[in-house]
Amino acid sequence: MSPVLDVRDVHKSYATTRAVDNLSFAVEPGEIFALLGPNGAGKSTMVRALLGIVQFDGGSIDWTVDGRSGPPARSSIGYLPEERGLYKDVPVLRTLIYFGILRGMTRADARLEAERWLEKLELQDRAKDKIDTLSKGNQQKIQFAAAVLHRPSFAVLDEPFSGFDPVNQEKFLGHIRAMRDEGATVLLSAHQMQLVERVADRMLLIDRGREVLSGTINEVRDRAGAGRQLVLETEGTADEAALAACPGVKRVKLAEPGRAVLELEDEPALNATLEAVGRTVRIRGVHDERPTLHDIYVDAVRRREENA
Amino acid sequence: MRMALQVAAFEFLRVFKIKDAVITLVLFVCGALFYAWISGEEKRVKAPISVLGDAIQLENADHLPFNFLPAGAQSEDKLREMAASGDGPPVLVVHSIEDVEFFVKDERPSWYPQLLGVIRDAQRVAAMRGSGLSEDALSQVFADRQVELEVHEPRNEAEDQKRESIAFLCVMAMMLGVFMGNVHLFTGITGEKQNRVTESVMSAIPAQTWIDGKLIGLSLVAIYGLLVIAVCWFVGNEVYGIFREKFVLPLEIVDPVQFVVVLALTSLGFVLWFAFFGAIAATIDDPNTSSRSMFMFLPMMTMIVAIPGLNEPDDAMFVFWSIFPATSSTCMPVRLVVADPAWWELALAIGLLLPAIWVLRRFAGKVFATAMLTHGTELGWLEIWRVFRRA
Repeated sequence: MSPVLDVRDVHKSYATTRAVDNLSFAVEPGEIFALLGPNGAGKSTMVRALLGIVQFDGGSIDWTVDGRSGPPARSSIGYLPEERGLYKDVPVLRTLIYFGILRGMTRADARLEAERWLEKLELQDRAKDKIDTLSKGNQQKIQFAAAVLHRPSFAVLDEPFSGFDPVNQEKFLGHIRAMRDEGATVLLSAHQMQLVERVADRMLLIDRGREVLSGTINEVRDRAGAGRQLVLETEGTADEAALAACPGVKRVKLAEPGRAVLELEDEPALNATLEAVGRTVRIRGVHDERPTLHDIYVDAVRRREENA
Repeated sequence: MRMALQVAAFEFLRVFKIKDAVITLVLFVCGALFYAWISGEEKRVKAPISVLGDAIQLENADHLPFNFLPAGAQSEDKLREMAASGDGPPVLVVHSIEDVEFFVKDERPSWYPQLLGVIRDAQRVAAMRGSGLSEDALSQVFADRQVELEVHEPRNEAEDQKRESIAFLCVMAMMLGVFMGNVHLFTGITGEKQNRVTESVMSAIPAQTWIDGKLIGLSLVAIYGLLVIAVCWFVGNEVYGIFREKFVLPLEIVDPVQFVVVLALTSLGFVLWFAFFGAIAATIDDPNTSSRSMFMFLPMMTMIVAIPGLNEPDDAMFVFWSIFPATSSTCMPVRLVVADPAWWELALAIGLLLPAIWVLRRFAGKVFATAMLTHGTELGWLEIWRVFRRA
């Protein structure tokens, strides 16, 4: 099956910065694909250019939405922009219906879907309230609903978690998964890596417009060389060189006194490793840990900068 | 087009609030009552005057704001007492031809000079009769002599005045509509930019569809605003009329076909101006600091050129203004009401206005597409000019 979106060698520069620097990636049907990177990494420029709001300077984009090649119909796309807002003087329900209609729904369908979303968001009793009477978080929820009310085949969500408290972030992870489960393809752009790694099927990590890593979370870990880690709580400060010499240990990080992180080889003989470590330092506690996406990203960027 | 109409309905319903219309109506009625209260002008009901004594002959006439009533059998003291207390009308006591006394409560009435004139005429007639002149001689003295008046191209001044009033109303309606619509246009568009609604909308519909919907919706807003003001004015005038002499609009001279043509021209004028202002508003980043807000007052220029046309509708310069697209929607209605422009002039005015609207609408769409997504800086004039040339 051909990808929904196939992006090749796109680049975009502004007066003083190269926002997107020869990026290529493909988004497969029915997956959640995440564009990850810190603020200013070029995610929003990428998203806006994909939707034709700004133009790439070069490269190619091929769409195949709903089995049809070429630029997708506006009704097939859902877009939650990073720079977003609503008509503050308009009631909630009317706002949702309006955005549904703009995306090609009939008034009746838009109303039905808007009411369904309001119930899902636990805002059904605020339907007739004006937007500016809602809290910022609730306004964010309405913005999300307005972007995907029309059940798009391809949803582009730019920083969908910003402005939400942890409880609502969890809920919206669920909403995004539900969209995928109902058949939509989702392109997510975010900087909250700890959230994205839990929901994305595949991801592209970018920094200053360039690819840092890409693939599934496991592929990213593998490519980053980020295997399992043992975290040791020790009495006193361990000898870094001695620990590094233990069998199965690839690298050692002494984060703080009394704490050492051992990065292990792919398939270590754990018994031998622990015995050797036990001879080196007095162990008070031990647990294993997998590096987070955040750690992988920071490490990858740092290494790239060092190599440069 | 269907989507543009959806946008138009949304834009219109954002402004259309029946509660606000009712409040406006109440304010107009209160204003009418207040004005009736402070206005010194009394309602034109003929004031009665009791006349005691018959030494002079006082006759009532239609053009006079008072009526003479014989005092009957009541005494002078009683009449004075009633007039002083307000229970009776003012009293005119005619002791003799030379000795006439007018007694009135509080203050001299506004029609007193007219009363004085009538009394003096009656005194002269009585004096002449007393001098022994025969009835024939008196008839000769007071006979009306014929004066012939010949007017080259006679004008019905009263009719002309009525037409000028209606034409002035057309100009005012155009200005009111443009300003009301502009207020919503500027606050709406700059508000959308500041609220960051733009990217969501423009990912759903093309910029041209969006501005088209706005132009239709805001033209309806302008017409609706005029309608509200017309109803409020009408009701307020009726309320005022209960206490004072109400203003009478010479609607009898309005020809229905002419009315439809004027309405169409005015509506096209709204679309033209809103397209221009939509484009300007889209380039404004912060309405609080932008000097471009002053462009809102540009339509005043059309009023300035339209007013002289009330008196000189066929002046060559005014004929030009009534055809030129930027001013035709204001000036051609004036000529239609107070003059009789040739059919080709009207056709030419509309024939130029429609393409002008088309170009401005395209211009607004192009500016919209660029400027509505530009934050933090205003689109420069050079860039706007380039967009205009592309339109």
